[in-house]
Amino acid sequence: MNSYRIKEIICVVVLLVFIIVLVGQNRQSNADAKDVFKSVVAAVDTDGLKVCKAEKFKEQFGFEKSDFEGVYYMASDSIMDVREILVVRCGDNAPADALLDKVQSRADDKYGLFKQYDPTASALLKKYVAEKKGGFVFFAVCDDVAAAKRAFHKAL
Amino acid sequence: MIFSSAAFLFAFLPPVLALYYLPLFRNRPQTEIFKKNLVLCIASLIFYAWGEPIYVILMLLSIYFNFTIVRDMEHERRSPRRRKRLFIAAILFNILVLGFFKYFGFLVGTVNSVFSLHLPVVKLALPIGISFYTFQILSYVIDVYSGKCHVQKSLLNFATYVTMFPQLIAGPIVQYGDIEMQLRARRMNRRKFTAGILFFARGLGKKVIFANTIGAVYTEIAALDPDNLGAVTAWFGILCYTLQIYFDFSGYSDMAIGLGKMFGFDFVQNFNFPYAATSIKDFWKRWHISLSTWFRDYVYIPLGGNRKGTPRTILNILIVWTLTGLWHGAAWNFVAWGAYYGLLLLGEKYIYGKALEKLPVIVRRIITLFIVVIGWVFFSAESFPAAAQYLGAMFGGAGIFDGMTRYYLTANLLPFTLMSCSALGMFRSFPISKNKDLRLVLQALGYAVVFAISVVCLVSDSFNPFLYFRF
Amino acid sequence: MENRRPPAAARRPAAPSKIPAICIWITAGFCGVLLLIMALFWITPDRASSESENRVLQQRPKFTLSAVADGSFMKDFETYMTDQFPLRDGLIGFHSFLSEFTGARKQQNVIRAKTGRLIEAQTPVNEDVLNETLGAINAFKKKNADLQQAFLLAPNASDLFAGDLPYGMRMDDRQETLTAVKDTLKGLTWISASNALKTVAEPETLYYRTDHHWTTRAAFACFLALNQKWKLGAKESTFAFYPVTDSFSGTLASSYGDHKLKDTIEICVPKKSKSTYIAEYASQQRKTASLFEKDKLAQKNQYEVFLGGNYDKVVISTVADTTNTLLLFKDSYANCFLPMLTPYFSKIVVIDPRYFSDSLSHVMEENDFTHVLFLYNLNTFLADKSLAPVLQSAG
Repeated sequence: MNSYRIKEIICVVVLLVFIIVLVGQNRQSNADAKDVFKSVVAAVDTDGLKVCKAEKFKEQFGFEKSDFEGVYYMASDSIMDVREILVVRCGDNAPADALLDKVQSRADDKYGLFKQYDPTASALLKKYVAEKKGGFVFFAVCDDVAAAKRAFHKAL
Repeated sequence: MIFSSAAFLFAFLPPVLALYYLPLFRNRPQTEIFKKNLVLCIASLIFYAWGEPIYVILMLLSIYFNFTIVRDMEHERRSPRRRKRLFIAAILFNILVLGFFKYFGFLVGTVNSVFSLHLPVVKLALPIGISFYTFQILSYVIDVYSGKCHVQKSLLNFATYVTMFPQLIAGPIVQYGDIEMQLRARRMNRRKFTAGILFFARGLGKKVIFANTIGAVYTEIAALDPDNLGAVTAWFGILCYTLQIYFDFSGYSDMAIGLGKMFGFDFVQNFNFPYAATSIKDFWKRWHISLSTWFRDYVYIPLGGNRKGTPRTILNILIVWTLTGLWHGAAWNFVAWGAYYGLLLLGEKYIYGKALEKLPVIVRRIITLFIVVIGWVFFSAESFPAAAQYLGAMFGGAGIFDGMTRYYLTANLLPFTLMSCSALGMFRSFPISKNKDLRLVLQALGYAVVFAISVVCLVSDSFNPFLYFRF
Repeated sequence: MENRRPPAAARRPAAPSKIPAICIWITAGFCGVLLLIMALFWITPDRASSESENRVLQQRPKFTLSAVADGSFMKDFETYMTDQFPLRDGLIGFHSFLSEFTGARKQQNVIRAKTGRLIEAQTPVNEDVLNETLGAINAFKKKNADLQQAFLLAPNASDLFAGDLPYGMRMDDRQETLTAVKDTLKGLTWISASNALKTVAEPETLYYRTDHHWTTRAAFACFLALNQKWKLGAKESTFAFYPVTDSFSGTLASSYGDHKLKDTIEICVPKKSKSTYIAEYASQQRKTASLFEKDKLAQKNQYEVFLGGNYDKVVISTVADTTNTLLLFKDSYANCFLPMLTPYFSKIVVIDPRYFSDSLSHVMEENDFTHVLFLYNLNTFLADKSLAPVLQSAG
């Protein structure tokens, strides 16, 4: 086998590894919702935020806690503080896409509401992160969204 | 990165140009061209990684693999069978990579709906520009195999060919044969650089001033409820889209050609006033020329073209056009759009072509434009039903006028007219002056104003879409 | 052909073409401009926020591996370059001028009327949401039938100045919508804001030209109508208007990108000092003796001089000689309306449902209300999703 063949094979192997890693990013995670939530909370400043009960989750997002496998929601009592963290572990039949849509449209509406009155709050809202990954739905509005996102990915 | 952004213009381009032209090896042309290619290649990788920090790895793998396998192919030139096998392997590699990253979801989705299965769909994001660079790599592989070009022994030169940022993300698709010589030696002089600047400024203006403006009108109209959309508004909307996609894409091609010239490369023209076409065949000789040329040279002709009898020609044309549609997007409305043109071309070729030629030019142009605009309805729609709804509105489904018709027409009359005339090429032979010097000065001043206004729009517009980016 | 003398023009040597020289100028010009702007960009200091756009500006993003890997660094950098671009405000103003020059009269959802005033586009009606809200209001009325309840729905500038809209632009006539809402809310006292506003001699003074709110004059006209229906005993002459600023450039000006027009904000106060009161902001945990926040006049959004902005709940206790107490559900239109109510209620609890997350039943238990007022403007009300849940939480 000449040197070309070796290089070609190495390329194909690296490519396959690359694809496997990429696809692996999307696989279902076995992490516990509580652990994921704890890691995210540990990574950001949650002064003034409280873990909320199931009713608040339903009131804000319109879904029952029982629709999912694990729901952890943290927000402030005061509506003027727009910071929130939501970690939801979706089961097989959970309305994950609907929840993600609702989360995004709610954040967009809130942004529109705060845009005219509070530039600082609206800047936070503009940078919200909302994603569906590894069977989880994750939503965060906070000062360091990048850290929150990293903590979420790491915990999965 | 996109050309029409402040980051590209004022953070990326100046240092790259400066490094490129830094006269380090003035007396050693070989080293100088090596340094130039190196600067261009690295800058291009940064440019690509800016938009695709992860998928840049894929592009690098693809480059290295194809470079190696073609050299292998040449190494085996005394054994035609082994050479052919390597050639097929290379083609397969590229098609499979493109197929997987772009079409896998589409394929699985279609299979699922046809056979009522629930195969898992792997959702991977589409790497930007993969259709463009894969086609360029295929062009290289095929050209070397067919003997048209020599194998490229320098990995740097090959990488420069594939990654060259002026044409990496949105074309024109440069065939290897056209650029082979230029990689080793290209003429860079002030005339070319100036021509590059003027091309670039023109493209920037087309994209930022024309396309974005008229595109905003189309977006507004398209968001209206089709059940309340009057025919006039609907037609106006799709005509705005017609202008938007032309200025968007041809503007980007102009910028690509301009930037190419600034770096000493000559690319082939990609658009030639397509809306002045007199037939569909003529249209495709003027629209996205590099794509139709690529399909002609690498698919149509190898399949036999029109030399194997009428049934085979019909099949070839349909294959080429379905693939052309498919190239534009992994969705059935794109395939339909491609097939639409395929069928029309067949019609022109075998049925009414001769009759068409007998009509006066103006009638032919109107008919062609009508066909093209209807085609855009399918191209621009989110889905088949959405396209059908919009068509319904266009043909009077919800009445002729609606509440906003007069406003849309009058508020946009000036830009719309200006852009239509420009698109039809009416400003081409503007009798400015017989004096070449004066003409150049006036052109430069004009494009300086265009550039300035473009920068104003770039900075203040949050609305800056690029339609041909899904490729 | 015999030898002929070549024509005179060809005998003269051709003038040397100046093109190479021109090319140098063009090249130098282009590169010079790029370098100049690049230099200006790095030299001028970064701004934290933009007054005229009323938003926070992107700062230089941190270069970390993870930020690069997920593309956020690049996205933020691009935003950074446009946000901190030298002379950004000037460029935006110029852009808005150019747009108007070519005939555009609508930017985002703000329209430039023929008279030069800026008008907010109408919000599309969300039938389901509206019906739910009206249903909740009716249910609330039923449960609290002993309270006097009134509903004041203010039209917007687009309704009053329909004739000034740019050529060809037509907006819905929402008079029908108003009538439909009125008919649905049969149990409540309907205060016709449209009729009240029609009595004002100068309609131009009813709405700000650069903001989506109505002026204090418009609020006052509707207050008089409310006064008539509820027989509060107010007299027009006991109120005085004072201008507090004439440099108000509101939300519409920010959206449209044009700050040339300026508005005057007036406050309306009862002349006699019967109007002493204490306002308590529940969520802020602070008390103040004035319903006007003078500090807000120093910032861009000067309309916040009224009440300091929007809060979930504000409790106003007055020294008014009456047992009437009021529960007010509102949006920002009521902020300039409040001071006019203070002489006629001993306690006013102001709730903005968009920010209110407590339970209304608490509020109802803690206070013994005699009157309830709903004060909204059409654009906000037709798509409001927050009033219904709050009313329903009253049990």
